[in-house]
Amino acid sequence: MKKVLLTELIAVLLLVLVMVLLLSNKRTREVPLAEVDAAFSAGFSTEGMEKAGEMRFKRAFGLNAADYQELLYYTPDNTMSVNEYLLLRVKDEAQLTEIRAGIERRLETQKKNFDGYGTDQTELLNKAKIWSAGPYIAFIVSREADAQLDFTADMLEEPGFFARLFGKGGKK
Amino acid sequence: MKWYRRIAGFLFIIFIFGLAAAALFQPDRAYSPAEKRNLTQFPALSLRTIADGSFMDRMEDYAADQFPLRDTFMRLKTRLSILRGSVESQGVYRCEDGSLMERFDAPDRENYKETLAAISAFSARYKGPDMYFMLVPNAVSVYPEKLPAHAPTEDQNAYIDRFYKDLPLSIRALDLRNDLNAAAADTQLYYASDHHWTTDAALIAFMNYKKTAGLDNVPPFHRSVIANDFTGSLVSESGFSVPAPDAITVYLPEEPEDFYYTVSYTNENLRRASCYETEKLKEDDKYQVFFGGNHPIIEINTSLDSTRSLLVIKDSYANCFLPFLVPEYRSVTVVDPRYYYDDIDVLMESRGFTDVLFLYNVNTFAEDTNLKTVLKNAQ
Amino acid sequence: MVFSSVTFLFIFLPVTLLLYYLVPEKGKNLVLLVLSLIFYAWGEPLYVFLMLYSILFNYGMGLLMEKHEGAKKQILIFSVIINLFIIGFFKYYGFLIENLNAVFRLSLPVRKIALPIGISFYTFQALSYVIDLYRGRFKAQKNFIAFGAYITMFPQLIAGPIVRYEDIKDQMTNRRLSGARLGKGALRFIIGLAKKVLLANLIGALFNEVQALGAEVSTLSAWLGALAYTFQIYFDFSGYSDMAIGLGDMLGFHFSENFKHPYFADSVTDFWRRWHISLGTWFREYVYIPLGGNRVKVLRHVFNILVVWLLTGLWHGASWNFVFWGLYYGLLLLFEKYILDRIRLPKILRRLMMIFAVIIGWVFFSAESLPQAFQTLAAMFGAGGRAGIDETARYLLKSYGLPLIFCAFFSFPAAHALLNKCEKETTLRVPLLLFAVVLLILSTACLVTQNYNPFLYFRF
Repeated sequence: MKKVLLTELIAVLLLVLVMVLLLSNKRTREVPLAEVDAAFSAGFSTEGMEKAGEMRFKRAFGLNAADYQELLYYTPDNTMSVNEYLLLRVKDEAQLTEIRAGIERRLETQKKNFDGYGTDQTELLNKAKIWSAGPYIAFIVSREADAQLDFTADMLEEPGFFARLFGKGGKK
Repeated sequence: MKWYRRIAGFLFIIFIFGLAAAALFQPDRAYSPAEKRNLTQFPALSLRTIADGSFMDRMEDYAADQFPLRDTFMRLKTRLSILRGSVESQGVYRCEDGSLMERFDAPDRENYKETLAAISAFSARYKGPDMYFMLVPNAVSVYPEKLPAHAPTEDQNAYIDRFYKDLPLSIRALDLRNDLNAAAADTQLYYASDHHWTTDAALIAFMNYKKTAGLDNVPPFHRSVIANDFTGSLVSESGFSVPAPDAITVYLPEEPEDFYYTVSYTNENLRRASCYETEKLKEDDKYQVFFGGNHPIIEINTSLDSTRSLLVIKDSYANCFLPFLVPEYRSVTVVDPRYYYDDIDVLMESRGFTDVLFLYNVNTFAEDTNLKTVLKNAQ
Repeated sequence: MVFSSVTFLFIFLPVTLLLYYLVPEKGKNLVLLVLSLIFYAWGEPLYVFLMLYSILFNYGMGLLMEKHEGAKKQILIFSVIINLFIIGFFKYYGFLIENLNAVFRLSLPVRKIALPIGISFYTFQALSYVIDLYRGRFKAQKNFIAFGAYITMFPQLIAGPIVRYEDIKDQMTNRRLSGARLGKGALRFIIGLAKKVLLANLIGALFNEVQALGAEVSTLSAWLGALAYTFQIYFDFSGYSDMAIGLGDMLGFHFSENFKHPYFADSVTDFWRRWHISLGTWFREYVYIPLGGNRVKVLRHVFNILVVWLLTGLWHGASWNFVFWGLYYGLLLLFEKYILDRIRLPKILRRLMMIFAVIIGWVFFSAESLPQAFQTLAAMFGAGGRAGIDETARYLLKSYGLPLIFCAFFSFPAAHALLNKCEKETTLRVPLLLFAVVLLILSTACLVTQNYNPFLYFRF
């Protein structure tokens, strides 16, 4: 009987472990966005985009940058380009919903503008990435969207269980 | 029973292994002329793309996009749809005569109000120039009799009526419906394979505009066909085919010897001496022959001795209409709000336009969310 | 991964068949297990670990039960609780918290947890294993690979049929492959694929078009929508079961039938003997009969039926309309048993009543919420002075009339009988083979160009 109870206890503990691994939120690090920016512009070509401020951000997403903690935004530098890199840090995670909605609106508008008109642009827009963890949210349109997403996540996320397991990530 | 089942199994195996092998050995395509879009390439493989499932999603797109004989399978699918009674695909109707028309969907009310408010505020801000609004009906409302029986579509006439009624009085509404309807029977006003209007329709619109705007020295035009093999966007969007490709015409004015003009694509740093980019006739989207397609801003300066200068705020319907305007103004500036990111107020104040023309087709206008953003700029 | 996808049909399946047929007898279960895990991980790259836990847990409990005969009952209760906890947590947690908050005016934090695909199916299989093991129907499976292959077996992993261990235990160690069997499975698979891709997806587009019309639809449009869903869910789900059974045959397994022309039933009771048979069997075997079944007093029987149907409803999803839908069937069955069965009615009338009841049932099932279901019903019964027929309805009828006729034809046993007849007549076999090839080509054409291909039974 003791053996049975012990086995059952181990089973429960194992279940708790599996659930914690599956359901735990991604943990993030606090990194000033200026630091991300420096690493970003060093690591990637910013061709097709230029650094932009709150005004352009408002115009593109219909959101007020002042509502959020920090903004890093590269906007298309000419109108036939769709390359974009947006990284926001919010004050309150409840704001993520409205930002996500703003990003999706922006993406839809851009897709409509180039639909049936610019095939390369449409392809990039279809491959656009939206990523979010903790108080951060990013929106990326680029030929290198995958790599830029990896870069952003590596920079801001604490490496997860699986990443540690496979020896990936860790402090830069 | 056994031999027959064995054959069935054999055929199945041949089919899936055969196509799989063909896919494996056939090089990937980057672009599909039939669909006019870039095809999905092999997705990026990393721990992250696997964990968030994006690798698998894109893998399915990739496998479908690069599938052997994809174009043949697509035609087969379209045949099948037509056979079972479908007359619509992706919001495009296939009419009795084989021409294609875009459906008009119920517009978003909130967006309508906001756009209208932005236009009103803009016209109140600039009392100097004469303002005109030309809202061009689409094929569905000019040729309703061609639509497949019972095909549902929103009422464009009601939409235009409502919009012209709501427009501030300071903007003159140019109603093309009488002129277009009168010409509809004898003239092909819309491409059968594309969502744009033809240059013939644009000429009718220009005659209407000329009267209202008081242009008097309109030169005679020579009509000439510059392409006979235009298969437009509605075909690639819907997958339906059209009985014959469309022709593209242009009207060349008989201008005085000493008249010349330059077309500047400011953002692209390009300058041309003509409205037409004949190189584009070799490409798929031949409608781009007009100005090489859409640009955020085009500035046309002419040698005309006149004080009148025009700003056109427009969608792509304007592209084949603009050449008619060129001989009438000292300068014509063209802004496409979908791609225009600069400050419209700076433009307005620095240039002192005498006329402002808004030109949109109903389908694009009803869905557009860029015009209000550009006009609201300062607020 | 879904069966009706290019990646499955032209990448996963060829690789699977190649490996499975090349590997010697002993290694086949391992191949099946590994490929099934890949199949599952393709759609659920993280929840595959939850499934692995479930396999390990139920395998271990089986061994434990056999070793400690005295503690058998306690082990059974423990493993049932854990299994129900897993499914309960991942499937009903959000629903529970939302309702607790609403009823007690609490503000417990709601966390959206994505539903692991197929959890309802594989958990029920695992439960059938531990319960029947407790009942002494068979010995515990000692081979971990064989047990893992049973739980994960990709043909029925994510949308059934729910295969009870008892029915398949011999096949886990002893099964036969042959060319004829492969062909039989291939034919069955093609039929299922065509049902899904050519009929269900097409008629599903009609349902979506009607949904998009909103509340202001004409009566005819509303009925067309309801009818479309009725056909969509049948061809979708039975097509999936056909594909599962066909794949099973290709791999040497025999699964029992999951559908037997349900829309041809002559009563709601009969309908449930023909619709999703493996689920009905499961609930009868592990809930209804243990509660006493129908060999009890009337009131207790009413209670038993309502419990079973409440659970059946909930099994389909964590939402009030599924609960309502389940209870609706519970009440209908009681009505049939205690009232209708005492009246003699012509068969045709009974069939019409049955199909009417089923269509109304699907309205509750397909709705996003209960109010929306009642809104649709109001439209179907002409409430609010709406038009009976309008241009849109005529257009829909014109565009989808032919597909509707096809769907109706293939719902009834006649089509099935025709296929069987063709198989038996030597002269008709060649046309039948051609028919299968045409179906396969057309289905491929639709797969390659599809942008609309959701499996309805994934939500459960």
